[in-house]
Amino acid sequence: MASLLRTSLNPRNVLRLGSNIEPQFSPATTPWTQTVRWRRDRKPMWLGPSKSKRYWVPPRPNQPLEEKVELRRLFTRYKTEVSALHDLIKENMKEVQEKQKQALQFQSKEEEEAEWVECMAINDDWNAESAALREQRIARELEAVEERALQLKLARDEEKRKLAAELNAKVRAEKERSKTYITPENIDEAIEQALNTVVDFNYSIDLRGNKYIGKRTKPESQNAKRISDSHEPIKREIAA
Amino acid sequence: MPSYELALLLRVMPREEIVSSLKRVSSQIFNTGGFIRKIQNIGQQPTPYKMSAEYGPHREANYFVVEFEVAPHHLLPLKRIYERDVDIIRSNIFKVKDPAEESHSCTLDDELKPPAYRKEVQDMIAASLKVKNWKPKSAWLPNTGLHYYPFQR
Repeated sequence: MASLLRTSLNPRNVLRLGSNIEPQFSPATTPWTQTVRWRRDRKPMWLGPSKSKRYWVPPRPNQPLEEKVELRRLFTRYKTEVSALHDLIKENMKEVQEKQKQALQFQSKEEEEAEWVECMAINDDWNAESAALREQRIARELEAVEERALQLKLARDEEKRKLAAELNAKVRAEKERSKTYITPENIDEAIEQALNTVVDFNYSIDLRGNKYIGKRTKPESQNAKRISDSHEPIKREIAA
Repeated sequence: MPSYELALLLRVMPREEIVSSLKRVSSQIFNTGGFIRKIQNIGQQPTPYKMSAEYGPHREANYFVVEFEVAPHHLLPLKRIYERDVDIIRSNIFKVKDPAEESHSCTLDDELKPPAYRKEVQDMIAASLKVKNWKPKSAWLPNTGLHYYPFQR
């Protein structure tokens, strides 16, 4: 037995299946192991018995008849005692199981029914209580949702109204401006007018915040303005 | 409020030819279905540098600004047409921003402060100090007094 255990524990004698890593005897890293006799530190089996042992006949086991009879008697007796113990344990278990079954049946059928009815009544009470609470909560939530929807609708209407007003104002202003649009009909006059008028976008400011429009405007001239005034380019008529 | 602005540099030429060039430029806008709001003449002025274009290098040009409206998908074709025009030295189309939507928070008093008191200068100094004082993080706590990590890794 000891040699078998040693052989089994020796990693070289253990065929490991299910893993290709270096053999190591460990339950965690070994999914399934099988002990095989051919994998050991000896000559391989297929070499057969060595030449010096070829005609060697191992001695026959020599067991006296008395020893054989005695061993048989002892083994028979052992088997009888073990089976008797087995039967005894079985009988005891039957009794224990019967007792457990009786311990579980502490109520009669009528008592059980009565308790069931009582439990159902209590359960119904609880259900009714929570149903009332639930209905209150749902009503509260619905009210909040309706209030929020109303507010959203009002806000959206207001936004739409503002946008419409803004767009209307833009359209009105653009309609007003459309009288001055330059189209193929009046392009000739527009070009003529542009060529006759030179505009100057340059301006300078002084430390008092006065703005002098025009690249070469002197501070004494009429073109000085406060910086907050709108910036209109200076226009100079030139002879056609 | 115009949508687009055409900055135009026409070569120096007689008035009749300028008129015909401007008519050509505006007819291209009209052909796309657009219209012009305003044509402004900034006058004949020296260019900032010698510009190469058709009819030799130009040192002076007639500056014009045309405010117009077209559908956006016509902008690139218009730009290409103006590039090919022989009388145009330079041209570019800009999207005009609404001055009411742009916010200018700076004032003249802020701008006249000495540099050390201006916020932009202070931000610049802080940014440069951050770069200058940057140090790599040490690999271990420096209070060991050792120049290497004392424990085997």
